[in-house]
Amino acid sequence: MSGAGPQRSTFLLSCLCFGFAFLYIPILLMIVYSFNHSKLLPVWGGFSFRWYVTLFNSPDVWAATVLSLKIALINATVATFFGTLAGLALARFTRFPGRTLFTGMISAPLVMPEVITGLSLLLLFITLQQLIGWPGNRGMSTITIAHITFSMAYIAIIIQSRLANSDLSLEEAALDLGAKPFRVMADITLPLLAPGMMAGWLLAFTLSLDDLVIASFVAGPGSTTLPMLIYSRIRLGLKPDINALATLLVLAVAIGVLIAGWILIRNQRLRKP
Amino acid sequence: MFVPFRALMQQHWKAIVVLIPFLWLLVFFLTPFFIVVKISVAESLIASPPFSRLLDWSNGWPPTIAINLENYAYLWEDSLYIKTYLSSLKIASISTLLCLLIGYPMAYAIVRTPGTGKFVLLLLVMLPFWTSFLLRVYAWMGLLADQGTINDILIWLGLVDKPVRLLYSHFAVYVGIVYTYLPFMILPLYAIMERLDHSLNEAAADLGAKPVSAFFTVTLPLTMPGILAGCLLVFIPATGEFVIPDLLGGGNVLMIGKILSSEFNANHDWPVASAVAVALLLVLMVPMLFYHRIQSMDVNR
Amino acid sequence: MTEQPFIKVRGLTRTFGNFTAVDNIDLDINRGELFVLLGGSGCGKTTLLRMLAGFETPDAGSIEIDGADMAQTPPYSRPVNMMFQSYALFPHMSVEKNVAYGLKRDGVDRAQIKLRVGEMLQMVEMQDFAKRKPHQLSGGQRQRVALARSLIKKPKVLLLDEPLGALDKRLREQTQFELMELQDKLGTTFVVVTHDQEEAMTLATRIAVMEGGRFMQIGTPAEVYETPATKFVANFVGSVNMIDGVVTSCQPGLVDVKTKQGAVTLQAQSRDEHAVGSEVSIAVRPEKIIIQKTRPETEPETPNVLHGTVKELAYLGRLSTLRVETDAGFIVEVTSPNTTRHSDGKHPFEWDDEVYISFPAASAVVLIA
Repeated sequence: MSGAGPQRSTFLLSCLCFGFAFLYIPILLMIVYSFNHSKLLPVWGGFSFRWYVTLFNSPDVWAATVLSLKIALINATVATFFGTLAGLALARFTRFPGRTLFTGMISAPLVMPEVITGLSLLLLFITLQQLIGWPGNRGMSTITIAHITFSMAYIAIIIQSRLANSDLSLEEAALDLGAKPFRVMADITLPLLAPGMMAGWLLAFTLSLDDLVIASFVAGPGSTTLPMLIYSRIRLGLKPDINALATLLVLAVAIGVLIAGWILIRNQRLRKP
Repeated sequence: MFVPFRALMQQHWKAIVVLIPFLWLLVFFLTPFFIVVKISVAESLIASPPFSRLLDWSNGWPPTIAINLENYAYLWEDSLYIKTYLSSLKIASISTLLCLLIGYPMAYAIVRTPGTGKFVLLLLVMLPFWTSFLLRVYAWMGLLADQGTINDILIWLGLVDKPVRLLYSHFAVYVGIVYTYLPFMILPLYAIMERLDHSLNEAAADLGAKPVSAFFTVTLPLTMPGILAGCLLVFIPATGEFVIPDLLGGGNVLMIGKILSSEFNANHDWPVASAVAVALLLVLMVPMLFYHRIQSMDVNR
Repeated sequence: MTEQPFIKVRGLTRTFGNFTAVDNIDLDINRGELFVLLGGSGCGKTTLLRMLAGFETPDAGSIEIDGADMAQTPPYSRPVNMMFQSYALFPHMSVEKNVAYGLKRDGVDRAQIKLRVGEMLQMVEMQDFAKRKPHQLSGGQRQRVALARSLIKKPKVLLLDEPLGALDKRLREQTQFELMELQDKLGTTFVVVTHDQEEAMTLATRIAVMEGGRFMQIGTPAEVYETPATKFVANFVGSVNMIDGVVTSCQPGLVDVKTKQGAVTLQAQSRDEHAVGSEVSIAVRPEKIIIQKTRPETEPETPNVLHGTVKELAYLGRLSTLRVETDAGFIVEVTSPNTTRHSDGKHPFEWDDEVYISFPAASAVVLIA
């Protein structure tokens, strides 16, 4: 019996090591090969920044990056606004006409296969174009609309669960002290939701930057987002400049997540008296 | 301008809060589905748009309604589609199981890690999730290719003398799906294990349960909601997956997302593509509703 | 009671689905009272408090505060303020901002707010913590801030939901007296909800004991303790010996009861008439029973003198609790103050000692069912 404890933790530890190796080795190798001088990717031809230079000199990569960032920014901001409203409605208004439909429409996008979302939105845009002449051509605006639609669902769920876990008596205390309901929302509810909204904004930003399938459906000719560009290149095989791009992206995300995580851990320590 | 806005907000803010997201979803989420359903019962035409109208106004009032179920009949008759649906479900199920087998002990080990280490490990699980999905799939192309790292190692070890076909196979698709969806399995498991009272395990041990039986009688049943949520979060999107079979499976792996995309983009057969989408949605309806129920149970708790 | 009651509740009812939380309640509370609602969890005390604050809408009945009907008044317009069980301090605002919040909503001008917040923080001795955030305060400090915040608007009634529940025992006792002092100084009507009977006894001018959404008894702490109206009240407030029996005679003021176990006759004072043969219980508080080694020198037939043996003994320091098994068979709990110190370490009574216990008829109460 005495051996059971350590034995079990060895098992868990090896699971952990295997799991993290599985998660990280592919990414690390991808990074290593980005510094490979050889054009034939799997063959090591010495250390070089060659592919980074190629990357920085390709205007289509720049254009796609700028487009993707623009879409991600607008999407995150609008989706956070809509999603927060939706989360508020779900958590605080227990009865209104169409609530069941509303809940369904909020939770469905989370599990909807991307191909279906993409196809249905494209068909909507085409139908709208025939009916009212808008959208004239598909591109940034249609991609942004599509991204907002699925991002807001994620944010609504974050906000709803935050509100469900929050202390209702805070809002009652504000009412009791003379604040009218709208005031309570502005003074108490929204400030308490700020961290959730921040998290939601970041999530929406990443989801948008990451989306390939939906964007491919609703984008028109001439508007290529970064994932679409990457996809069109790697479909035909390994491309060393994509390794360089991947390395830069992973680096940016890692730095961002590490900073966020550090702030989170520090706050947690501060909160504990 | 400002004063009436304020008055409006004071009086009708509740309605406004609901209506803004509600209308958006109505237009951009619900309506598109009806359009898909509508087109799925249209006839394929060589025209722009390439399908017949549901309501034919050419004979004046009342319009004739043309519902064409041939697209669905076609899905049923052409064995390719049935085979593809079954293959998608099989690939998604096996991948889900693999995710659970890898993810559960990982989540358990993370929860058991003392102090700040827990957050660091959780962050490490999340980190790949925040990096590009596409690039993570691409990373595996580099590993699995004929001249890829894995084959290099195998040859160097002398286990094989010429490259094994790893890329463009079912194996590659499993690896890709498990790799990209693993965080979706770990996070809900972590969330539920975190809330689990460790003294329950101690109580079981105190009452004579060995670690293994304590796990099967206490921990496993109590983490069931997390297991279900995690499995559905992997299974549902994996079924409709398009990028992974396309990049890692090549022409050898049949998945419905690929068929849908090629039906639409290559064959320009919108009605059949729509019918494929509707059928996929019907197949996934049960797990989706199930997930919705777990989710709302969790929020109410 | 010539004065109109300050809070007047009539026929108040609130149900949640099948559960009736508050069941057709009438209640009068006078100006300046410190009124305590006492009961176990789920007895309806918190629901009643929340209806006074306006957070719950009654299904039936009316609430009047200082002559004004509250039916149509939302919580933010009521002349009452509440101190929440969790304190509900706004975590994103400093102590100062928390306390000022109510005045700001009333549109009081800034200088005035500053002045009154300063005074209020002085009163609860929190002036040095004005800039702190709630999570930087101790439990006792949070309680003071919550109190200051709920008093700053000078409400006609202050509602307190388990005001001392989150504090540890020592701090709770100290805070009880501060709360009473404060109430005395301000003259505000306090309505307190608590499940702690000792706290209720200490604080209250009057106590209402609640059970199942109704009042079991309303009275001063002494009335509730000394002359409980029902068995529930007698049990809930303090500990009590409950001896079941049948009425054998009922002279004016005095009732004779033959106990079910052992058929001994006990006598108790009662204001009410009890029919001979009716089933009642005699309730005696443990501290009202005299315990002696020798038989008290009274007439041999005097009732309420019982012989027995000490079965259990708990030394609690200030006093000891003994459980005596009487010859009649029932067990009686007795407390005996440890007034003298026994240097040999022995207690005046030990296990299996033969003792006589007695109590005057005036110390016992007759309770029906």
